[in-house]
Amino acid sequence: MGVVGALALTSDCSRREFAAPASPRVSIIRASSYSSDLTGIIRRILLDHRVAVAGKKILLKPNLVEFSAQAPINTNPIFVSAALEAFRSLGAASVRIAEGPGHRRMTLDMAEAAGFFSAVPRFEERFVDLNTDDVQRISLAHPVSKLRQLYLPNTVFDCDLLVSLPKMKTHHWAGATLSMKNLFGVVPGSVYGWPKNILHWSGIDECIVDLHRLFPRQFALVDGIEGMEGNGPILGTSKHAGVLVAGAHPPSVDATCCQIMKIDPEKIRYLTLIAEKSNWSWQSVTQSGESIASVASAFTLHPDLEYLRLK
Amino acid sequence: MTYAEKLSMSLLSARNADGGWPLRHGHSWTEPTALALLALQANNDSTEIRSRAAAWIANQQSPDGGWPPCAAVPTSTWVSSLALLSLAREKAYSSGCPRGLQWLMRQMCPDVSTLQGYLQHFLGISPARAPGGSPWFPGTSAWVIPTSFSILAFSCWAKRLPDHGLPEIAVRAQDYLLSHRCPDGGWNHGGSLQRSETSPSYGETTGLALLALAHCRSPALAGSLRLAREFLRHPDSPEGLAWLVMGLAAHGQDTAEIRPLVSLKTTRDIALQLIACAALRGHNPFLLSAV
Repeated sequence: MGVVGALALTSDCSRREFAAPASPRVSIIRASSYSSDLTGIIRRILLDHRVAVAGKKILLKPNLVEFSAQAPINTNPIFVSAALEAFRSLGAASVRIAEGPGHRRMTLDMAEAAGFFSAVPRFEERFVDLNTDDVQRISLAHPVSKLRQLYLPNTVFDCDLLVSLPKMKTHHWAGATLSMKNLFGVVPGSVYGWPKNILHWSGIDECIVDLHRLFPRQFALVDGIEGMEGNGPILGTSKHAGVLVAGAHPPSVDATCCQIMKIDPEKIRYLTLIAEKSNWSWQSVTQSGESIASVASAFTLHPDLEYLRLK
Repeated sequence: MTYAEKLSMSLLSARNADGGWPLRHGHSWTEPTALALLALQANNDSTEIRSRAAAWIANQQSPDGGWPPCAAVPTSTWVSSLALLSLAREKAYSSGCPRGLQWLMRQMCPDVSTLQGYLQHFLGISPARAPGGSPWFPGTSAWVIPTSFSILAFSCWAKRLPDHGLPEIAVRAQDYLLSHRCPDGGWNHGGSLQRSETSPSYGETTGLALLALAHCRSPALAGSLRLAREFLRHPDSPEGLAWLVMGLAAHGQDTAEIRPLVSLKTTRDIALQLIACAALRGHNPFLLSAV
């Protein structure tokens, strides 16, 4: 079992577990299209954040939801491929890709249709369908949600660093789906079904927080080149934002993305839950690279969620 | 060697030493083992492999009557339907099935009372747990796939266990399916809630729901069948192709032959291809009565 799993199993939900870096830093980098030098950009981000990569087992977790290669639903496979190459170039012992889609069961067929086989070298060798992986029971000490335990795939605990690679999208229930919500994909459909409805019954926002806490060693790289606005995460429309947003503290990354999308982080419940339970506040986050103001562009919200708009 | 023979070889080579099948790699799970057993039945296999598969499934039954997804997860789930279907023609291993059916019936989402229904209608709210359907996991909402498998299991066992009220409960579950169609006439995972009303349907769930509605002759299904034929022209996965063939064949519709596919990734893919091949010969184990 790798470091992530060991920590998850032994952590005791103290403020230490929730503790955020004193001054969490998030990188905002412009990338106008997927033909930009994304490998170079991601490599520089990892070096800038001094991410320990050499000799480590890396697990990339993109967001794969639908068959479409055109609609901005899935993390773009070119972005995933670039992340893979960046980690490899920095000496990672292994880089695997894993996802457990939440609506449809034929993961590899979906990955093929979405362009992963053509964009990512030796994709099938590197990829683990988390919906068909063997599982282990994880107890949640002091959970925020109604969950007391979860069965999770072995693969997500057999790594040194879990890298969340979400698409920057609005979400018609949670407000925004970014690096933290992306971890819903590690919950196995083989146990909980398609969708993983137990997460809805146990509290969507609360489960986002509980899953975040299970993986203390994370890095987040958000595909904000072409995002989704409106009735996300599936029925929305394309929104060009032209950015990569990255950092080692997912709540800080997500709060920064919200501001870029002109969504008020104060009104995103999973972020306020993190703030309530820790020494973190989204105002304490510093950004490097571009300023939020220079890249911010209002993502259209579902009409019912207009109250989330950042004033 | 025929396509079906090649599929059978693939299926047998994926088997674990304990007599069960993995989802893809690793330990044996209930779902792929049940599907593999149904595939063996569909192809009239009578070897020890079939009886070991049946024994593996029978041995997994939980004290509460249901079946867990795998040995590592001690909670009974939707896979109980598949276990019941797969043991229906294995008389030596089916003694626990009446208890399994009782467990499955207990998971059905209850009807709302007249007053509750009126209030929900008046207030414009959807019931959190639509009545008549089955959940994937106990205590959660009903969805299209587990409800479809429940209907197939209840229908399969109805003649063998006439005192269990299975036809009535199957009809309620069919009503659930009919009320959870997408605007295009097909089915997706069941996400027709607020803010997802316009979600499109999927080929695989449309095919499976049509199979579960094999005995339903509602004229309302004409649009669903038309859509299924459209999906069948360009199936997006082997699983989708298999369910569409089975769903259309169950309604007496002409379907294309199962074409050899190279991209069979999972035990489920292989088993469903074998079952669909048999369904085209008029022998679909999902539609047979328990012996």
